[in-house]
Amino acid sequence: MKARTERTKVVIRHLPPSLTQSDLLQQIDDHFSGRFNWFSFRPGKSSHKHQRYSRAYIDFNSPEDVYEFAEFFDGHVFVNEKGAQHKAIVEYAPFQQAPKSSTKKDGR
Amino acid sequence: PERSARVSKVRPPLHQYIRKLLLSDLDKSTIEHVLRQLRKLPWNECESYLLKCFMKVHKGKYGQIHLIASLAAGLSRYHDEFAVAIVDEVLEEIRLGLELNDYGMQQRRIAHMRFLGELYNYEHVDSSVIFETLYLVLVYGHGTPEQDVLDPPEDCFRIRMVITLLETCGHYFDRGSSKRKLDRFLIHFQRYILSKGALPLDIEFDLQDLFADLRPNMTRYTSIEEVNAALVELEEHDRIVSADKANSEKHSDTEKP
Repeated sequence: MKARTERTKVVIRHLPPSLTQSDLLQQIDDHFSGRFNWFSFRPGKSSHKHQRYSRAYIDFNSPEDVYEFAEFFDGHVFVNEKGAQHKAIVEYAPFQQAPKSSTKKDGR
Repeated sequence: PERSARVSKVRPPLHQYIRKLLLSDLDKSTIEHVLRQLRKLPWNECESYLLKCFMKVHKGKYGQIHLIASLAAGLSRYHDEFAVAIVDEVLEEIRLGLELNDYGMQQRRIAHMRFLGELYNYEHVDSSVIFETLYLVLVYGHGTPEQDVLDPPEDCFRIRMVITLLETCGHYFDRGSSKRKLDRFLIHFQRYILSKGALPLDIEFDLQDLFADLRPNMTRYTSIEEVNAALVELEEHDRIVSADKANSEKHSDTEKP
């Protein structure tokens, strides 16, 4: 378990349902490319019945990167082509573990 | 009136097979087999569908949720990405439930609390995740303008959520630091309960069972003033302990391991 001061994994919530992974990465990469070691995108859903925000998890290399990222991205407003606004929330992920890059392959 | 026939959803064979394994084959006696079959799947193709199915714990039997948690723990040895995603996803569901407080979602919200508790029982998450969730349930949205929508005074659902999680894994918090953490949480929980006023009897009985189970000797406070006093005392005690600790560390620098 990482100590509180070492938390490096964040979750970005309330992203527009129609946002795609490449859209988001484009916006992040300008400032933060190479500063995180893991990124995971959960696309949202916008049907008539249910709407679900998109979400993303990022594990940064250092706690300082987290501060800078939150400053840059928390409260960032996305406006889609229809004019709907979505205000993103950046928080520490409640579960701080990120996948190790080298998991042993399942020999089954 | 003319109506077109209902079109049933056609799922690709791989998805049908995954559903068969998880929804109809899975029980106590077949779990080893199901785990082996899941490991043989083409994970590149179906990892996200698997995740989706694992999150549908509320669609299956409540008494089988521990089997899904056991499978998750079993698969995590080989699929780290999946192991992490499961937990991220459950915690998101719990958080989303708090944000919406939608009556129609209650059953699945209870199922997800249960699932999180079972993931602890299978050592897939540690106790800090459990306690952070417990406190989140008590405080989320409080002190904001939306409090009356998110947790109206007569709404006891969050008490149900806490009971569910602690019923599932609370008995493991019986020693060491997790015991102390639960003692502390239960006082905060009592404060929350008292803030609700008179409780429906079914909830009161479940609470009595929970306390009898986990902390039979713990005082059940009867007024906000009493529980506030207990919390003040707790803080006071903490301050003394941490001051003592700081002091002894100062004097025993040379003896540090």
